[in-house]
Amino acid sequence: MPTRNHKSRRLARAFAWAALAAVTALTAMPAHAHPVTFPGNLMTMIEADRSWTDFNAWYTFAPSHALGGGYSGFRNDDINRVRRIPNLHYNYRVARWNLPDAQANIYLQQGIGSASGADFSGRRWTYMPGAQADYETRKVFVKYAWHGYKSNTFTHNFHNAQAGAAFVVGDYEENSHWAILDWRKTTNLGTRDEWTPTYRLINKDVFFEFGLVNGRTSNPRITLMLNF
Amino acid sequence: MKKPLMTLAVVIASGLACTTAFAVKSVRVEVNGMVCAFCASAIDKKLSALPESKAIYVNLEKKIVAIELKDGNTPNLDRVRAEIKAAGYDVVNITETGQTLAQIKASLK
Repeated sequence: MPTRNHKSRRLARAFAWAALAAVTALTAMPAHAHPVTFPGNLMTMIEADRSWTDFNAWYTFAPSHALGGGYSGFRNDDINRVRRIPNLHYNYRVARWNLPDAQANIYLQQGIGSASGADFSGRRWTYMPGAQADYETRKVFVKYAWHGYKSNTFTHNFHNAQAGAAFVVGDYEENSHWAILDWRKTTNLGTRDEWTPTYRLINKDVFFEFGLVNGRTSNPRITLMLNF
Repeated sequence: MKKPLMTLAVVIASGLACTTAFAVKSVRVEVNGMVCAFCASAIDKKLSALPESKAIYVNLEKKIVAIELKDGNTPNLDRVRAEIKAAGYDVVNITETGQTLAQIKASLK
């Protein structure tokens, strides 16, 4: 027989999740491609290495606007700082420049999550702002992205830069093969900078990356994105 | 009386001849910003959903998108332009053509 306290705790928890679901905010978007696509499109993205796991699905409901949900999990090497953050997010394409042989974009993101961790008990509301700028041609790609994770217990800033070139330039019905150098740093997590040589495959249906974090075969990173 | 009738017949015949000569089979669009196949698939999906679309061809190198029309359909150029814009790209030039998709592909090789 549940007690009144038990019932009210369950009610509070259900309310908290309902509130989370009702908030349109942001996240750990795909640090890799465009977090807004075209109206009516659902995109999914998963990225995993030894210390990070990101899963996101987002739906573009209007030109320049997308809503999504996902999960971000990350930790340091000693596993005494762990963050597990299911989240909801809103992505806004602030600007796009369509040039004859290039494209550039600026995105802003807002998100909210509910974090659990190894160095605190219970859950923490987590505000997750973000921004991204990228420039690409058919042969060159550069990008910088920032994602914040802010709660009353922890604050992390994730910085990511990528630069690369296509060594096989495919057309629309063909595969393109890229070599990318990925740099990322997460503050207040006790981790060092990560430099990841990465192979990228792009065709019209799939975006796939495989890299070795700091060149170590013991720490591969895989990224996969699919359009529906 | 015969002269006006003959003139009318010539005008009608010319009109029919012109209609045949300019029968629109495809729409050819020059698009800016189309640099990645994964992203450009947005254009393919948006244009494939148009009721008059029979097939789509995308050429990233030449920055061209072509739509082959179903038999008897006429293109709605404003709608095509709007769909490409909604997919996130800019239309530089849009033209109707009597070429089939295969002919457009061949001309871009």
